[in-house]
Amino acid sequence: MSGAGPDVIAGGTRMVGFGIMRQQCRKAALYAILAAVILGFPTHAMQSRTPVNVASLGPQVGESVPNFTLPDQNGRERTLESILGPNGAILLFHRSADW
Amino acid sequence: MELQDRAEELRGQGLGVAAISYDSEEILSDFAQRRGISFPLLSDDDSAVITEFGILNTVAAEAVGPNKDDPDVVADARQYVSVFGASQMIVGTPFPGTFMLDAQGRVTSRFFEEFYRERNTTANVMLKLGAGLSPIAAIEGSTAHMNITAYPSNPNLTVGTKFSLAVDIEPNEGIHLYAPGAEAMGYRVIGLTINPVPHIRFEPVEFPASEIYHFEPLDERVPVYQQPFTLLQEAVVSGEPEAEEALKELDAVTLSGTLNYQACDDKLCFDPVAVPLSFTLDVETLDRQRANR
Repeated sequence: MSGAGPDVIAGGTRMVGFGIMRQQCRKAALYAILAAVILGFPTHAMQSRTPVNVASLGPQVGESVPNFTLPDQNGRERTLESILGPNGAILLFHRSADW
Repeated sequence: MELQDRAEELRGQGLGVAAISYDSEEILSDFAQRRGISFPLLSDDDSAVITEFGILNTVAAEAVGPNKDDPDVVADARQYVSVFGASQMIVGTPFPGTFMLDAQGRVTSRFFEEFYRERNTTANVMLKLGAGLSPIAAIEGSTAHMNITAYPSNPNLTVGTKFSLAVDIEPNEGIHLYAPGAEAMGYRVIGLTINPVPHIRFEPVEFPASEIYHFEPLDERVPVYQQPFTLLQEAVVSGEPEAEEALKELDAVTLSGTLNYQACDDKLCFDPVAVPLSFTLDVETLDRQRANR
């Protein structure tokens, strides 16, 4: 988890269509962001950083990966769907093909 | 590139393949032409998809940022960024790894390492998932009790390669071999031992699930193998600079070891057998060639 801020914002925007809920949610989101700014920022500066644990990052087993649209080496747009075969796919993340 | 050699076979298994990096289309185009790569190399040049996946290497930015001298950052940078010193170039890269997806895009397994220089080969991933690709450089043999096919997951290794030595065993009709758990009853469990070599770490041997054999004369229920099965010995080439230096001197690495077992049928047990095995993997030097610019 990358901290409370972005999650709260995403929660807020998801709720925006719900009429009466709208104002309250926005207010709640605003308070949460304020709280994160007031409480989170100074403690972050003082506390030691969270150690990295790569195994906990990104989609876990059973979860869906985000969709994407990216150009390939021939300039063709590719999506997750276009990559998936009838039995799925291997998706690799590399540091660079250049160094 | 290993994946290119395997791409056709993976397609045959109904699997798509793609690799994502932050390189520009031009860099990827150049790389694909130089290396004859036909599967999609995807350009995430602003690292947006890498970030959305949640696997952006955040240590890379820390290692060149205001806290770069913090001992914790220094330690993490060595593990996740570079053993040679961080640089701005690494900012925007992901933690390298592999997702195996089902047809709906759900993760069925994932392979990410805690030391950036260690990488699973695709063939090793497939072997561990029980969907082995065709063996390369397999040695086949037989004893009085079984047929043996031994092969490395891939034909070559380099700094940080994670690979496996596989031994496929097909017991003869009526023969059983003892599986882990049988040692408690005084039986000799089949074992694979690879002799130590510098700069290669061996993980514990992986045994597949066994079945229970009912030995009626003694009314014993013992874990055994009677059907074809595979033993996997995973190994990791060190990612340390010393290992890189040592590998530069070598064209190939030979790993030798022994398969030990005792076979029995429904009446008697045969003498224990030790089968010598050896595996030779070519050493590849790390590709440091860059795109023409």
